[in-house]
Amino acid sequence: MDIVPQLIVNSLIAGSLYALVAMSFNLIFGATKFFNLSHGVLAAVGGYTAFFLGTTLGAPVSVAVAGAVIAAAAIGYGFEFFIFRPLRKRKASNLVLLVASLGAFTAVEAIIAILFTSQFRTLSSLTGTPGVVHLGTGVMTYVQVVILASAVAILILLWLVLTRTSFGKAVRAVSDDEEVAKIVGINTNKIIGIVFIVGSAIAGLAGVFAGMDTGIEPRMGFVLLLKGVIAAIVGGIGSVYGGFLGAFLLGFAENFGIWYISGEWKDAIAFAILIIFLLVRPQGILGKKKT
Amino acid sequence: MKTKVIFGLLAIVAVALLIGTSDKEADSESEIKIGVVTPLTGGAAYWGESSLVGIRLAEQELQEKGIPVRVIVEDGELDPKLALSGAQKLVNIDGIDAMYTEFNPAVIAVSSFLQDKDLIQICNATPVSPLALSENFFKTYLDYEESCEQVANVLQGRGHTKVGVLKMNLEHGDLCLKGIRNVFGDNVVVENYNTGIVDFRTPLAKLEASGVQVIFHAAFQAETLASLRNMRELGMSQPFVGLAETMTPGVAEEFEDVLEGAVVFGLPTVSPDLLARLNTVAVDEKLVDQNAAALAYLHITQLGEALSECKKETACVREKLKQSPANAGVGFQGFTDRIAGFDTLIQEWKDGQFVPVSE
Repeated sequence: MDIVPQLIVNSLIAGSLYALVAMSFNLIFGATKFFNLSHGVLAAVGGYTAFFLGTTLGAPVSVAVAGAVIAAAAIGYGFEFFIFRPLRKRKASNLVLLVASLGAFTAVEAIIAILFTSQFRTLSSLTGTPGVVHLGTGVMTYVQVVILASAVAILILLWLVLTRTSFGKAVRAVSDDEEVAKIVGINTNKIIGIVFIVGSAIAGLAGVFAGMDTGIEPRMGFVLLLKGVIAAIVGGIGSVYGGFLGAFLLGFAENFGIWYISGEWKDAIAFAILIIFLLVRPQGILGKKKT
Repeated sequence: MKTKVIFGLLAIVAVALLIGTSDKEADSESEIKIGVVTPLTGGAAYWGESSLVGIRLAEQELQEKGIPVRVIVEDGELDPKLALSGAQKLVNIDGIDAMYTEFNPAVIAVSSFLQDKDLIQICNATPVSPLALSENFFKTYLDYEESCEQVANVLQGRGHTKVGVLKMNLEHGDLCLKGIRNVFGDNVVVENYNTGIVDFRTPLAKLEASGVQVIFHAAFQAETLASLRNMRELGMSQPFVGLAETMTPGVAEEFEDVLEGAVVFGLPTVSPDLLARLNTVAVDEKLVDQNAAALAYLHITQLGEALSECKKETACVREKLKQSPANAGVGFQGFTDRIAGFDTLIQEWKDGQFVPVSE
C-alpha cells in the first residue's frame, strides 16, 4: 500500500485545524500585541456549545454550528470588554495581559469541566457516519473536506476584508501603531472589539471542527492553542497569512516526521520546528524583521 | 460585684469551650478518614468520576453500619506532580488514616511519598513496583501482562500471525506489549504515542502498510474512540482489540460498523445488585465505568471496615486486608501477596454485542 497520499491527506487535515487557530490568533495578536492564551479555550467553548445544542437539545447541525460560533464570539468579546480593555486602559504590560488571559482560559476550562464533566465526547450525532472521498490511496471524510475548505475560505475572506475594506485598513492601522491610529480618529477599542469577535468566532469554529473530526474534552483548547501558536510563530507572528502557511508546514512536518520515526515524537517535532525558527528566522516565514 | 459576675461568666464560657473542644477532638479521633487520589479532570476523568460513585456508596453504607468514615478526594489528573501534592495535603493537613490511589503516574509518585509513613495504601493501577516500597501497600486492577497474553492467545487461535500495537507510553503499555510478545514474538509492529494524542491516522496507516492483521490498542477511552474513528475513516477492516471498560454501550453502538471481529478484555462484570446500588448514588451521567465504581466501592469498604475493627492500628489493618474475603459482586478473589486477584474477562463482538469468548 502506498502510504504517501494518506500522509498528505492527514497533513492537510491537521494543517487546516491548526490554520484556523493560527490565523485567528494572529489576527488578535496583530491588533493587541499580546499573547492571548484565552484564545484556546474558545475552541472548547465552540465544541461544547455544538455538543449541547446538537446532542443534548437535538438542534440541527446548522443551528449547532452557528450557536457555537456565536457563543465563542460572545465569550471572546466578553474577555476583551471585561478583562483586557480595562487592563489596557490602566497601561498594563503585555505580561499582565498574558497572565490575565491564562486566568480566563483556566476559569472557563474549569467551568466547562463542571458543566459537562471531563469525559471525552464525540459530535457524531451532528455528523453521523460521514462519507469519504478517495484521493488515490488516501481517504478523506466529508467533514475533513469541509474543514479544509473552511480554512481556505476563511483565509480568502480575511484577505478580502483586511485589504479591500475600510475596516481592514483600520485593523492594519491599529496593528501598525494603536496610538497613531487613535490620533487619526480611529476608534481603536471598537476595532479591537470586532477583531476579538471575528477571531473568537473562528476559534469556536475550529473547536466544532475538531469535535466533529476527533471529539471534545475540556482540555482540547490547550492542545489546539499550542499547535496554533507554534504555527503562528513559524508563519510570522501577527500575520494572518503567515499563520496559514505555518499551520500547513507544521501539519506536513508532523505527519511526514512520524512516518519515519515513532508517533511519540509528534509534539517534539512541532517544538523542534519552533526552536529552529526562533533561532534562525525569529520573524517567521512572512513576518517582518524588526529594524 | 460587677467584676465577680464578669469573671463568673468568663469562667462558664471557658469551661463550655473546653468541653466543646474535647468533644470535637473525641469525634475527630473516632472518625475514619480515607484519602483518595484519582483523576477527576483530563483524559481519564471518566474513571475518576465513576470511582466517586463507588466511594460515595461505600461511605454511605459504612456510615449506616455505624462506622464514622469520611472520604476526602483529591484530583490527580494523570499528572504525578498534582497527585503528589494532593497526597501531601491529605496526609499533612487532613490527617488521613489510609489511602486509595488510582492510575499509574499517580501511584508511582504517591507511593514514593508514602513509603515511610505508617499508612495503608491500595493502589488501583497496573505497576507492581510500588509494592516493594512498603509492606503497607496493596495493588488492585488487572494483571496487564497476563491479560494481554491471554488475549494474544485467543488471537493466535484464530489464525492471526502479525499484530499491530498502538502503545501508550505508560507502564501498562509496556506490560501489555510484553504479554503480546510472549505469544507473537517478533511478529508485532509497535507504534508508540504519548497520552493526550487523539489523531492516529498516520500511525494506523503505517500499521496497515506493514501488513498487520489485528490492531491492539489497550488505552483510555478518548484514545480508543479516536483510533476506532480513524480506522473507520481509513477503511481498515482488521479486528480491533481494546479494553472492555472503554466500550460502553454507546460506544459500541456508534462504532458497530468497525467492531467486526473485535475483542475486548477487562475486569469481570459487576453484579446487577451492586450496579443497582451504585445507580442509587450516581448523579448525571457520571457512572461511566462500572468497574471503576465497583473497585472503589470494594476497597473503600474494605479499608473502612478494617480501620474500624483495628482501631486504626496499621499492622492489624494490613492483616485484615490480606484476609479480605472474595466478593462476587466485583469478581474479587482476595489478595495474594498483597495483589488483588481477578479473572480477566475476554469478550468478542457477536451479533451486535460483546459476549464472552467461547475459545
